[in-house]
Amino acid sequence: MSVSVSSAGPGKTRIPRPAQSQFALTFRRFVRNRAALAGLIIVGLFAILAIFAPLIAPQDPTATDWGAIRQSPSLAHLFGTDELGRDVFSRILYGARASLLAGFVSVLISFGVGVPLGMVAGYFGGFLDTVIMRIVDAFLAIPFLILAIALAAFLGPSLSNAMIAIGISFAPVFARLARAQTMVVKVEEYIEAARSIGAPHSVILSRHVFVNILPPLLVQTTLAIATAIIAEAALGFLGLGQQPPAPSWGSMLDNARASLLIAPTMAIYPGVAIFLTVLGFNLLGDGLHDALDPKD
Amino acid sequence: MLRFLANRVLVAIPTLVLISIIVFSLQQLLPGDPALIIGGGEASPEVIAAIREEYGFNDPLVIQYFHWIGDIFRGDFGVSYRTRQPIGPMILDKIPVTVTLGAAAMLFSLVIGIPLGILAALGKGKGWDHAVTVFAMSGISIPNFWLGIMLILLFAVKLRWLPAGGFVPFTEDPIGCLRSIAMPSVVLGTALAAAMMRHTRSAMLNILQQDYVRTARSKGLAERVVIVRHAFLNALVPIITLATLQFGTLLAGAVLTEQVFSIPGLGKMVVDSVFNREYQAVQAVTLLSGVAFVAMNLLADILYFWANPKLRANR
Amino acid sequence: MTNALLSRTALAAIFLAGFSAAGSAQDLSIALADDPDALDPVTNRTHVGITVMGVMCDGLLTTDEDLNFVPVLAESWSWSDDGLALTMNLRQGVSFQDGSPFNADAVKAGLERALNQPDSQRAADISSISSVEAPGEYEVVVNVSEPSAQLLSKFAERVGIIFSPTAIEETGAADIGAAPVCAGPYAFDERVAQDRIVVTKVEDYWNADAYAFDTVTFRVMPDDSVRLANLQSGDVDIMEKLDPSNVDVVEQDPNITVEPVAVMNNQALMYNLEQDGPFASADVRNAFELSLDRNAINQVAFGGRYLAGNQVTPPNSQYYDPATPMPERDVEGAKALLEQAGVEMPVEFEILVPNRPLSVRVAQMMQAMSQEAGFATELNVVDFATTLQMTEDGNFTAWGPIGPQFANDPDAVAFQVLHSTGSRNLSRYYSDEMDALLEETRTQTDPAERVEVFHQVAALAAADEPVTYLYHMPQIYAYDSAIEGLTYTGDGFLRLEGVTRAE
Repeated sequence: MSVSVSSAGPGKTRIPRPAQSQFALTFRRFVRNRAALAGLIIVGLFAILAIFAPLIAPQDPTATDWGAIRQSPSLAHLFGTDELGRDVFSRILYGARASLLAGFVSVLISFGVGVPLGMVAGYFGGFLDTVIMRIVDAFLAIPFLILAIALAAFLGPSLSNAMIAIGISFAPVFARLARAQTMVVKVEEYIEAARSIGAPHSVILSRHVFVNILPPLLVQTTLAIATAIIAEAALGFLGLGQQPPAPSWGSMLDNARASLLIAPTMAIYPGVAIFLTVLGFNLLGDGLHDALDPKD
Repeated sequence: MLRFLANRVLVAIPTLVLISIIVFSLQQLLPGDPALIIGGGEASPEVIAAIREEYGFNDPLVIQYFHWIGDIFRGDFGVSYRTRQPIGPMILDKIPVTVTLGAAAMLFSLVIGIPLGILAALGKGKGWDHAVTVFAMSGISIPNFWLGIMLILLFAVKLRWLPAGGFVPFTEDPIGCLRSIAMPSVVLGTALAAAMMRHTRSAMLNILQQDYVRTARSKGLAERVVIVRHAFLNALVPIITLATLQFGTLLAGAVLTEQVFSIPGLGKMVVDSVFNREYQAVQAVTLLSGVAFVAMNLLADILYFWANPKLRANR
Repeated sequence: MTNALLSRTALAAIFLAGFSAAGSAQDLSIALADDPDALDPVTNRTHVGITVMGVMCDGLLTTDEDLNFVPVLAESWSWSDDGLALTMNLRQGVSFQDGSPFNADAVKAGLERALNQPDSQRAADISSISSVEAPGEYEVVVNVSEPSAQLLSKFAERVGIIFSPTAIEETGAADIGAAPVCAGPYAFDERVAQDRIVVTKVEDYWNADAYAFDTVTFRVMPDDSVRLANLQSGDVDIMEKLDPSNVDVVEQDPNITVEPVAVMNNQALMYNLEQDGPFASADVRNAFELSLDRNAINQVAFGGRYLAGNQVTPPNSQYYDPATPMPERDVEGAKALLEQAGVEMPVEFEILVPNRPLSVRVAQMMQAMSQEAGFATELNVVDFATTLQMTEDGNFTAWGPIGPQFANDPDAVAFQVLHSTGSRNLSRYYSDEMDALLEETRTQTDPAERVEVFHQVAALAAADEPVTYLYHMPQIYAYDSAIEGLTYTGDGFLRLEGVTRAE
């Protein structure tokens, strides 16, 4: 937030803002929240695993070994091998890349599409608001996953298309939240002040409104990443995500299901990985929420 | 009340129209020429042209849209290209399946979620509360298709207590029905139960701080009476409202749950139809779920309005 | 409409509840791996559709497990000396399931429908038929424009399943697939899409004593493990398409019998010969074949339960050309061929793969194997319907593993794929030499000579390599060991005649 203060730039009227101490207070509340901290640690851990996967992974995640298929966990293969003799541990590590990437990028898309729409609707109100929000409502009425499946099938199966499909399907949620928050913020004094000195709408929206609705949006972003990771796994599970042989947790689960009878443990690891990552983001989002809004 | 209702319905109409437009565009989105699919691999170009003509694929999109909407108002959802079965009755066959599953999941989530939520609220900050919070967090974070696979592994493959999939209608064999939906309803209901716990907890906490609860306590009423009669009954309204709003989540969850357990409901139908390029079936189910979603929202609004005397007085 | 439907459902429920109370011996339930398409032999395109129709309906003839023709509704048949007219004598006193008589007129109408209906999927198979006559009430004469060695095999398959002309008249040819009426032991009762098809025994069926079950319920369970778990728990009696990797484990179960039925089918990689690029060269395609270890594919992907092969028919078939044996994997040989072809290394290649677990498994193995020989192989895994569209449009480099799932004559697996007019010739393989050979297989009525021509077809296909044949899949059935007397047609479909359940 300190960055945004300096971005007001010289020569412009400084608009009063929540004081720095507010941020410090929030931060302290967050750190004291053990669950939130646990979430941060889990997310951080998976991020490190994903980033350094090439260094950590004992084997190439696509290297096959016909002589060692569906092996139980051992020292050579911590999580065993899959139906083509590939090292499951290495695939889980590389799968983290796909999952986290999908989580971040698709939410970035949702954010990029949804937030501007919501802000415009909330800020200007009137007919524009009605039109935008009716469209948003209509999208929200169609179950998220059905929309994402249809979009992913349309775009063709690949990780990037899955991200686009999830991103678009989730954008209405951000639009709605951004609108609600904008409507709260736009009657604040500092916005009125900016308007009274004739600041153009675009400046008010980007410099003042956006900065002030960011905290609740960040909470939503964190929770949305959790949803997006599950959605990407679901699309992968249905064969609409990452293309083989590249690993993704969803498609690993789909493969494991086919070998459930002969190699039941194969189905455990990708599921646990999805669960932990999603849990991490959910704890983090919850902690952020509590820290920003400690009423409950 | 009537004015409120009328207002709500009026607002819902443009949403419904927009839903129908979005749903209609899904056909334009899905890849593959439907005429080629209907004609099959060996149809000649003349046959394909005839099919295009017959199904009106040559008409402008706007005309196609109005044809489609008109047919739907007459109750005609089209005929499956693949099986030649009419889609309307097909959906009618599937609604009871998904409703049975959804109701069981909802029941599971209420039975698990509400008592645990109350317990957590009463013991705020204590061990119970933490346990429930962790439990709820896990429930929200667990991917339901994975949970499904794990349950199949345990109860169907290892223990062989329950069928791994498929669905038995209640009218046909009640016991078999319960066996067939036991695992799926737990899978579908878990995230819901977690949400229910959290909502119940915060609604209860909110109400326990209200004056009338304090008054009741100060009058020396037994704690159990206070909690049940005063606190819980009042917390029930927001809980039920929220349960109604969970409808969309339930339907989206059913998509994967039905897939994992091979349950022939609406969710499986929509996925199979996407993969089989059954455009009309995809459109019909999606439209239906959108309409149902709007209807459930309306219901939630009405419930909320009806249960809040203050709101009623203001109107 | 709704009320009628509800009351019908309610009736069915009461009906079924009555059955379960009376003991479950009377219903036989069969788990299918796919949801069938319309139950109409003329438009059918799915394998499971034939499984269902095969249980419901009698054909003109059928095949035994050694692919000999067996009379059913055609009691006898004979060819004219010039081989241009086939006379069939029909079984008398048979009626369709709607009570209308099964006779020569009905057969004539049925064959003409298969020939002329615009959306017929069978027309190409029987295009040699020039006219059908019904000189007597139970005598049919089929005239052909040239001798047709493959025609009887088509009559032993979908073309030979005749639907009631009265029912077609009433329902309309387009919609008869939703309410099929044929002549056979089990009549269509109800269908719940993607869930079940129920057929009920026809009491006045001429051979009713041979069928022990009052109803047969087909349950659609696409997931392999769900299908198997339902068999293990006793919820279904018979399942088709057991995942070959599970055979070892399932065989340990004393309550379940596993039966692989050999079928003359093949799974292959089809190249798009019209696409410019390295794979336009037969040398490059041969090199790709050399990079593959088919036995390893069979061992790893299928637990060794399929049959590796390099020709259109399996190695144990009489139609297999012994002079063109399956090459051993030879990475150096493959590299040498690539060098000879003068292509840029690594050779870029993309395989379009239908999104099914076993297909994806095989594709990933081919990818890994070919990479060692200098191919930069990529996979494009998409759902099956999309692969159909893409291959139809010519928008692919290679497609597979894919292929016909069954055949009762090599014509069914060879002609449509390799002939320039073939409906499944998605390789766009146009060879005058191959066309001439394939046409000869149809006109050559001497069986021994015909086998010889098929050997030449196999040798030419191996040299030109428009398709790389990979393996052959037996139909693997698994069933409750209490089920006795199951037999199969030569193309691997269930026969319920004489099947009982031991108490």
